[in-house]
Amino acid sequence: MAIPIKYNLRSLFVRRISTLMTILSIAMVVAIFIGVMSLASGLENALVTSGDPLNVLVRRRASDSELSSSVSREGFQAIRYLDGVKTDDKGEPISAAEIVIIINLPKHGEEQGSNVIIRGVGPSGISLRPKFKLVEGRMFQPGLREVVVSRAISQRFQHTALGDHLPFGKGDWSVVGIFEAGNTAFDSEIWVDVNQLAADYNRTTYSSALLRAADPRSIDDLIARIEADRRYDLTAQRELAYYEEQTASAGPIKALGYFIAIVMGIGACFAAMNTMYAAVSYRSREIATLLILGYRRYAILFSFMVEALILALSGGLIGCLLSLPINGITTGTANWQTFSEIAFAFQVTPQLLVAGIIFSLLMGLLGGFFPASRASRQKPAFTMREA
Amino acid sequence: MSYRGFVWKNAARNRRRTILTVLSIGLALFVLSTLVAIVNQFQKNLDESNALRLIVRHKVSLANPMPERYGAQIDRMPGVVAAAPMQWFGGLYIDKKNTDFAQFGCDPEAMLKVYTGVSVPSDQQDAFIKERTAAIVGKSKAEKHNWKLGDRITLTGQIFPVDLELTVRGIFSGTLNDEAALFFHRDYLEELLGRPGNVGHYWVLVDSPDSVARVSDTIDSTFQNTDAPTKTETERAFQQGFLSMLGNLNTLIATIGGVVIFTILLVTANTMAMSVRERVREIAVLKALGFGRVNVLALLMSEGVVITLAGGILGCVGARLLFSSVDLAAFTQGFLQVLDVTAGTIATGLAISVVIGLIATGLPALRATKLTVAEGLRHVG
Repeated sequence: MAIPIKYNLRSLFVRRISTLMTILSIAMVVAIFIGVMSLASGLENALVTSGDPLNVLVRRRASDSELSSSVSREGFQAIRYLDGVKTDDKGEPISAAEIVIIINLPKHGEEQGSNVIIRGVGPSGISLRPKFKLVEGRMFQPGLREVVVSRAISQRFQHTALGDHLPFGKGDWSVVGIFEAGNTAFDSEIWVDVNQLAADYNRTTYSSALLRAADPRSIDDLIARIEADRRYDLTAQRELAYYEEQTASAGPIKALGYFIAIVMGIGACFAAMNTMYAAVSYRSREIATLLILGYRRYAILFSFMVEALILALSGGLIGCLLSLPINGITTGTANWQTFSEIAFAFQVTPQLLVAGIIFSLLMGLLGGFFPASRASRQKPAFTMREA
Repeated sequence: MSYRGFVWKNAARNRRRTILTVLSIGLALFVLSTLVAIVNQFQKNLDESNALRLIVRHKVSLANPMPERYGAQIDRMPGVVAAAPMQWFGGLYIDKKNTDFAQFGCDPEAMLKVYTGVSVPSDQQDAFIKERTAAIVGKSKAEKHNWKLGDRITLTGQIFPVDLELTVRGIFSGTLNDEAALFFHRDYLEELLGRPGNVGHYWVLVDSPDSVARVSDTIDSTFQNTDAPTKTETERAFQQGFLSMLGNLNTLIATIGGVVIFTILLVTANTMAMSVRERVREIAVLKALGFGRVNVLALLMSEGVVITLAGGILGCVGARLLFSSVDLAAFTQGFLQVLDVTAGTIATGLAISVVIGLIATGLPALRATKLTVAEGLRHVG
């Protein structure tokens, strides 16, 4: 017969200070783990959701990002009419040629600048990115020095509020609109008219081209066709894959999260072990009594394991609760692939919360096993005889 | 029995509990000293910068090039010792894991004048200057990649569409950060690219601290109304810009550090509360024997400090030993060249341990010693 869980709960309550301190130390470790990992998952999420499954990004061969790539006008004209590119109602291929540059802008309250991406787009560039949504002001007009700024950049950087003037290229540009792009990498960009940007920077080539494939099956063939034409020296890639490669920037944050979680987790295990050993030794006569009453040894083992798991699980739950408020806080870091700032929000995902709970149960399991097995191996006669 | 012996005996009484607590605190302080070391390392990189060296870049961003004629113009300005054009190459050596050093195209003569912190044997200097495809590499990187004078190094272009075939003609020594670099002839790169005449940034050495502000202003105002306006700042300010790109690192690390300290506090307080609880009657006996309350308190608190200090020593010294024996540059792909857990960091860690020991033991010990002798003796633990 199993020992009722009520016995464990009451025992934990009798020693409530010690119980609470153990729970809290486990909660702290779980909270740090979730906190740091939510930073990494926010960054990764911003990047992996940026691409559209049907979009194909074309760059110069051997370039590592759009920034270092160039696509000639002839090259763009050649690839957009290839088989496999989706056409609109008028029979025109859905494609966009864009120019990407970076400028250096100071954040609010700082003198040092950080790099921000300026993307020159055309009308089709916007329709190729369905998550783009203008939330304030209006769209820039082609042929004018006007920009629309993502909300995340506008909140964090100087000269980027609605109505401000942003100096780059050959003069000032007016900020006429604020946009959101569904927490993607485009939420860290400033968009302008591609032809105006080309004129300001004396650019005769584009940085990259974006094509919409007719259907998922034709993507591989389309990529092969683009790369087969050696005249333009181009390489193509699914847009999704391009952004997924950049998630490497989240690597150091993840490494930090795992490092802290593992080391502190082992430490918290030891702390839980201490508490459980103390519980076992305080209750040695109770355990002896239970054994004499006929409870089996495995029932004792199981009961103390349950107690350790209750401790750990409470810690895990509190840790999850503590980490929730950071969800959605916007921050930014360097995307080393594009050498520019990427804004993103801490993202406490359900998966992370589950991972936090599992992590806490693991601590309880490891921390509880040795004390519990010690309890179950007691010799009742010997214990009862002790003063 | 002396006080010291008494504390020692008590700490060793429940050996398993003491060891578990020491290990738990040790692990937490290992994390803490790692975090402190990371922050210090960034600060140290800033402090190692030469106060007389300026970095000139395109006003818009580091990725925008400047014309190469700026070099000669800056060279002639009063207060300037030398101006060295630089082009960051950012190529790949074998693969990402092996590319743990920066690569710059430079004008060798100017670079050797401006880069005061490093030393190159003079015969190697001459060899570097003479040969168009020559390169010099930092000593620590040469040792790691097993480069000898005369070895060939191929760098695959990532940003530039060309590959460099270089020959090692010199090995220089400097700080570990300085040594994480390779320099080659910018002229060689220019030739491969068809001579666009571009320079990424200039390193400018000035003659005295008084010249810093004046030369910066002169440079920026000279090129103000050109196609490529400049921004000149000290090497320190330039590096700070890189750090600020990483985001709010200090807040992140301070928050994590705070939570880690709080966790240690909880773990220690729990252990000491358990120990004190078991000894309520003993404490009464001590008091009955004539030990004052302060005496008993001091005994208990010393015990707590002995435990946390042991954990502190384990964690901090452990971190120092560990980080001095692993190749961090390869682990972090050059992000951290070295992580130095200094004596100062260890001292900070130990001070934190002592304070935590005092606070964590203070509360339960105060409660226990407040009981009268009669109450204490009657206590059932």
